[in-house]
Amino acid sequence: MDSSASNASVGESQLACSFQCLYPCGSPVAVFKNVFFLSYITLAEVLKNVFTNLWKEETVTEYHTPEIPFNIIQFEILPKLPVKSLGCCMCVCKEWKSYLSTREFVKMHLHQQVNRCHKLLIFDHPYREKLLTIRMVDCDAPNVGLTSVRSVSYSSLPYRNVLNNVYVLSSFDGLVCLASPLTEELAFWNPLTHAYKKLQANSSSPRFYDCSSDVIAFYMDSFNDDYKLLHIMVSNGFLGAYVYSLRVDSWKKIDYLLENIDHSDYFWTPTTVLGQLIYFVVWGRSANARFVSCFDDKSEKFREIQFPSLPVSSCIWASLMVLYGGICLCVVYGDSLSSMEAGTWRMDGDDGWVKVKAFSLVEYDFSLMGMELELGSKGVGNVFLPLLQKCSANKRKIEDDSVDVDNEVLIWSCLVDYS
Amino acid sequence: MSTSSSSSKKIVLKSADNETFEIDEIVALESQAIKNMIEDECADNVIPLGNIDSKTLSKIIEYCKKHAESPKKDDNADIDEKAVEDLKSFDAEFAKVDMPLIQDILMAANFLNIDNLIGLMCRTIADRIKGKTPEEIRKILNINKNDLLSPEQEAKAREENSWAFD
Repeated sequence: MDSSASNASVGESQLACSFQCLYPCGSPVAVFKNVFFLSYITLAEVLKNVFTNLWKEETVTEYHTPEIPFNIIQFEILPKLPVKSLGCCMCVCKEWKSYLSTREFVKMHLHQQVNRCHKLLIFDHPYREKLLTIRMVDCDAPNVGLTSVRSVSYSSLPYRNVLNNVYVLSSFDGLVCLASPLTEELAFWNPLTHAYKKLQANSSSPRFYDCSSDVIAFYMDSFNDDYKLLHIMVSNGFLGAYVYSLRVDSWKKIDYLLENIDHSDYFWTPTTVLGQLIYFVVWGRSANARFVSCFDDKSEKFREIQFPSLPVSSCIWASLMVLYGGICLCVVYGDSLSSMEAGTWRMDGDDGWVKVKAFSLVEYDFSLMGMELELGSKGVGNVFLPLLQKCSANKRKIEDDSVDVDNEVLIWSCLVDYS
Repeated sequence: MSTSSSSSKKIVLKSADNETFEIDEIVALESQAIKNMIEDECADNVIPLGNIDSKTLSKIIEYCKKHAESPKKDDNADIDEKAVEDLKSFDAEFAKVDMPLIQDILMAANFLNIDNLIGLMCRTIADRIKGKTPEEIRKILNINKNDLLSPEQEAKAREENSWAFD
């Protein structure tokens, strides 16, 4: 750079001389001005040289720092980004856009997310006449309380008229299954992008979801790479099941689970999905009609798993959840309300149970359990029990602050994976 | 050259700009590529690294030294929590460099096959492009592709992903 500058100063005087030679008759002032003018030109030349050199140097550094190979971006960088950033990455270039749109990437992203957290999605009508509100509570920041509650605009829902309730049936991979009782439609909805897909009805469709009796499971058939919905219900004395496949966008009826039953004698819990298996608790009025039903999504068959033996016959409430990497059954039992006990059993092997925790209700927070029972009976039960285990402080927050609703109104909630 | 000498055996690395770095073998073994070379007994007195400049190489050696000194996770079950924290804060400090150097370190770590360092650099890059606009991401990663979306395509893509831009 120094050498080019000194070259330039030599060049400048040379140019100045030649100027005087060319215009010998010009007035001194004019010559003086023109010399200035000329030195601007030469200065510009100098600067151009300098910039060219700088630019050359820069190109050299760029040569040293090649673009990061796309395979590193593909497998190491993009999967580490939160979903929201991926939306921006879609607009970076064509290669990124097409890669981010592949099913392979979506799967890898779901599996690699370490910062994945659970949010509790709550739909409720705070006051009967008002519009539905949708709130998200961050389950991993239990002490943040209301500040972590994010309202979602209801205009982002697949349904126009949300004055009537919208049911939140189930969630999987960050997607939520919704039902609109007004239009009797089901839809898969992404609470982040607001994208949705209404489920197509066909001749094998079940009747519309009945929140007082039906069981729904939203799951992934990884063998066929397909999102599916299992709908279990009683009709004409049969406990039957239907499976919806997103890939073919249609329903099919599958084998009965129980025959000749009286609907009013049976209860079901919501479903819990672990791997390729879907579990829910079924129990009737008699003690031996109590079992965990397990649906295998590959064979599309049900299997009954007997309850662990309880010291007393009356079971008040049972719920399933995934804990310790396996299916756990929580049961509240007792002969009278004043002497109730609760226990947690882990499924051991195919049909056995290992007791992992027992508590009498003296140490169990009864007020929380009342809440759980109540919500459970409205079809969202197993949402709250894992929450109790995971962040009981948050649970209180939810109880105190967010869900201060009139008891007559249905509250729908579910846990959503969020990244 | 024999590989059975004591643990204080030295390895010399030579950068692209002909600077030499003498390091303990144990430090060099953090690189799977060098480890393979040593095991295959094809490491001469000096290992030339023609595509890594001295600035990048000294950073990489700094990283490997620290990680070679720290107790490994599989050494014992109840690993010193303080050591883990110490390594974490070292990594965080280490990654506080400008983007071109991050990129150079990533490429070199990729070449030398140092898994932890690749992971650290990729996490750093991911953190830097998090929440950034498409233009900023292109600039950060120095993406000068010929396959940029046309203005119409980009407008469409932004429209489709409008949820990500508010």
